[in-house]
Amino acid sequence: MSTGLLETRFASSTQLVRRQLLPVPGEVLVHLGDQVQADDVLAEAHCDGQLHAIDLAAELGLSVRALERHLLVSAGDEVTAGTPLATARWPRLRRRSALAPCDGTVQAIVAGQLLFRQRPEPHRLHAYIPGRVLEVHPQRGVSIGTVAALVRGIWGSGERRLGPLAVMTGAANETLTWDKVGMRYRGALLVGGILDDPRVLARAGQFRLNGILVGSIAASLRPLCQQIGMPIVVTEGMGHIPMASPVFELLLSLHGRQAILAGGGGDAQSGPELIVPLGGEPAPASHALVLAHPLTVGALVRLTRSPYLGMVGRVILLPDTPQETAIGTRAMGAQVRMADGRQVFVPYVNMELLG
Amino acid sequence: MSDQKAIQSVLAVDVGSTLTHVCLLDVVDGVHRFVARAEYPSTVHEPENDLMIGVVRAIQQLEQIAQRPMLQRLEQPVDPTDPASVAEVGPIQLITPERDTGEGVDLFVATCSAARALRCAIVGLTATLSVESAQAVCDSTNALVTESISLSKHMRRWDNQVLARLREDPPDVILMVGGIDGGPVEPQESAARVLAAAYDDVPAQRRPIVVYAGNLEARKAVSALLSPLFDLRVVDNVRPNVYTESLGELQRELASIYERDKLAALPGYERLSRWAQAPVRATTEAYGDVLRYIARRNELTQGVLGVDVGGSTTLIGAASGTTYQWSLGAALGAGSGISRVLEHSGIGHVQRWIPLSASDDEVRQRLENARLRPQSIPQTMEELLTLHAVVRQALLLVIRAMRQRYWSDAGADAAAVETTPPFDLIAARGGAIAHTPQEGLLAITLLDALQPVGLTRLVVDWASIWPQLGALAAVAPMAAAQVLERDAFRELGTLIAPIGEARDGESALNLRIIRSANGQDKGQVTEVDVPAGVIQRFPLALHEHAIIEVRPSTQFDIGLGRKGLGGKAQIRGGSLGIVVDTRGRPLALPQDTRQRTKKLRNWLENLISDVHWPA
Repeated sequence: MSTGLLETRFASSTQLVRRQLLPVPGEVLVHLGDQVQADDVLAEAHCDGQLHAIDLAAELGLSVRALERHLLVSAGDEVTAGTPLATARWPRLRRRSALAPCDGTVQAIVAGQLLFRQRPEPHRLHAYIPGRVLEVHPQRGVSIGTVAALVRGIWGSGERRLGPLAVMTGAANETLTWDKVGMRYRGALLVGGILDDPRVLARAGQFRLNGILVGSIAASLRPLCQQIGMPIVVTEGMGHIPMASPVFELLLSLHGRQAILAGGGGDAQSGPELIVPLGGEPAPASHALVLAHPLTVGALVRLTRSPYLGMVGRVILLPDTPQETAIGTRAMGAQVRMADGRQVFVPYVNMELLG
Repeated sequence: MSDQKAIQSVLAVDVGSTLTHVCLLDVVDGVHRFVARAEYPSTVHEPENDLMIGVVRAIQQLEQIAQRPMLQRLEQPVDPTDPASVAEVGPIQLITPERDTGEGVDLFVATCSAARALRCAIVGLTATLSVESAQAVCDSTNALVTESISLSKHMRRWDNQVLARLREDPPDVILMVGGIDGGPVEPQESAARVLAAAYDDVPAQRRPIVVYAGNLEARKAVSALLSPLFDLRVVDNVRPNVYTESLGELQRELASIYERDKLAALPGYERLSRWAQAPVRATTEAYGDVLRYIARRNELTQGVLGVDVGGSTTLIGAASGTTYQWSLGAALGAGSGISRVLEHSGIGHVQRWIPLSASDDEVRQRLENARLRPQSIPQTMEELLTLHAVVRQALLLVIRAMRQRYWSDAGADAAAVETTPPFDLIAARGGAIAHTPQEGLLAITLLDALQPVGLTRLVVDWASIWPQLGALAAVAPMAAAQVLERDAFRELGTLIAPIGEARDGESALNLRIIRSANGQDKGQVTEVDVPAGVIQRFPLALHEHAIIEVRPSTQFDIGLGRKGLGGKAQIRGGSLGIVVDTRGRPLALPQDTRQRTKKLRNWLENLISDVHWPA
């Protein structure tokens, strides 16, 4: 038997656990066993206010030494927005004052600069994923369990957003075109085969879509995706690689369902992914962030390196010893039958489990 | 574990950023030998977030290859088809010491390099001198500079955005430099006040470590302001005066912070430490020990040049006598480090090494896909050659830092800055190296990037075992030495690389090879003229010896210090035999794409007899 273990990249229905944590310690508002909805607030904390460096000496035209005589506040003072911090009067000129930019505290005055800390702001942690609270992490957050369809991406950008799934292409190898992106998809998560047109991203931003999930994107679009803000998730890689057909077919069947698309940014612990909650009760014992399955004969795998990049095949043999690839590298792997009937040896590290 | 006699079987693990390697060593005929190896993608980062998952899976593969159980489950057997039970590592334990039945191992040692580079912010007085010195130290250790803040008199104002970044996403280390010893204290004091105010309300666990390497006179004041709030480390001033740099102590301090704070914070590291019967070593440190041992043990007068091309870091170390010099390219590598190689070099500088016609976009796309799945390995020649182009460029960037820091005098001409001093041995390792079956490609990658001169042996860490042997040496030095000498080297052969320039085709050197009378060639003598501008190989089988006589032309120096001066040496063979590289130093590639491709192909074909060029 092979000991090849591959993590799940795709599941039409699986038990999922996702940790939702505050960036700083705070108060957890839900309890173990609670059922939560996507909009529910799980926990709350007060995050540090922004620090402003105000160059008082330069603003008032004073030397660093002279500033001391004109200061109206000292370190530790709490002030409200618009409070004068220092003031100076010059002959034949009006009095000039430097004002507090917002409510906050004077942190220190160093070399003519006043360091001013804005008042801390409350931070609310939303559930995003509807499900049951399986674990409470005191002062930090909770782990939520749910039953969902899962598609893990290989690349992503942006944070997490919710929206209905909208499959925009008729096939896994079709390209998303800009003319189909319109106001009616506001707030939706678009799904397509390939993304190679920057106009699609521009329109998605313009019409406030909530995210895009595709098989591949042109490598040149990567910087633009990272700027756009909304989550963009890629399942196969860079270039013109169709979305793996089992993944595309699953998404077609889920068209219109409410889903969560995470680009892997922010505090994501599970990388880029799409989660489509299916309802149902999660198993309380299953706490792993990601599940690995032993690779077995008959498993469906996605191949991840050229010349088979983006192809899907079935495992037909699991050799016990390392085998040679076409260029002579020896590696542990599996014999795979492709859709066109070819049989090839593929190292474990060059495949991902689809089911 | 002080009783070394008791140690028979050893399991040695190296957890890298991309792959986790495990090796099994055991006693065979009274000496320690290498038995088997396995590797598995590392699981340090999301989604697994536990390095022990990768360690256990790698050991499970090794169990299968070696047909020897080494792990046990503490609980009742579970259904292997239950995914949750397979993903859990908690109930799995290493069997140690080895049982009479042959299960388990006597010793478990580990090295680790899986942590991301230290993120450093440099705070200095001016943009030159001290800040440049601090930048140089970061460039040679596993550190990335995220902010460089100069507080010269006219720029004493701290930028709001910089302050926000320092607070919202604190670096691992703030490096305070500036001022010559005995200079004014006030600028350093002011900077310390601002840092104290900036982090006053930030939770202690999010505050960076502050390393002070500035004006000696300001130490007391800086320490009084910062030590109540920060973990403050004070080291030598990097610029005690305008003319002197003192970087060693800061370099060691950053290496120590990486090892003790960054590595130790990895998820699963604590359990790895509990499994290990000796302290877990940083891979770079352990590899450095091995290089030092090789240089000392073999009495290499010119020393050994070691290179380690990992997924996310590239290390070059040079050991000779008691000296060890090293430089580490943080985030430069052949896996996730591809992006930084491209950032630093540009796609054109990578593409120039690929002997195939491909557009920038094609190459970029190929590299992007390799970077997205750093644990995957090439399956076509195009991909392998593209990967080796990245390896060359990563090595070039790091060896350039080595040359500037250690091997060139101030005011040296460009050619001198581009030349590597002679070494007796080049020892190469890393995932991209170990996964390349074509020795000729390995050799030419090393020659193109390192541009060695003179007479040099080339060896490769085929089993990805050298760092682990460095860790093992701390507990069982004899076992480590036995494995290193018998099993750890894949010998590529001996390189002859003269320095000089001549037109292609003109004679570069005359080579006479007198093979050992005891060997399979029974004293056969070969004499050849090698023209300039080529790479050629002459067979000399593994374990064979020969005496070579080299007579260079008047335009070439074979490393003896004078052009035209010949010499004689006894050498060992290898899988490539003797490789002569008369392309000159520094190596110049033709600007014209077609000519360059043709040359690269010719050079490679001279080292690999059966290249299957893609259509």
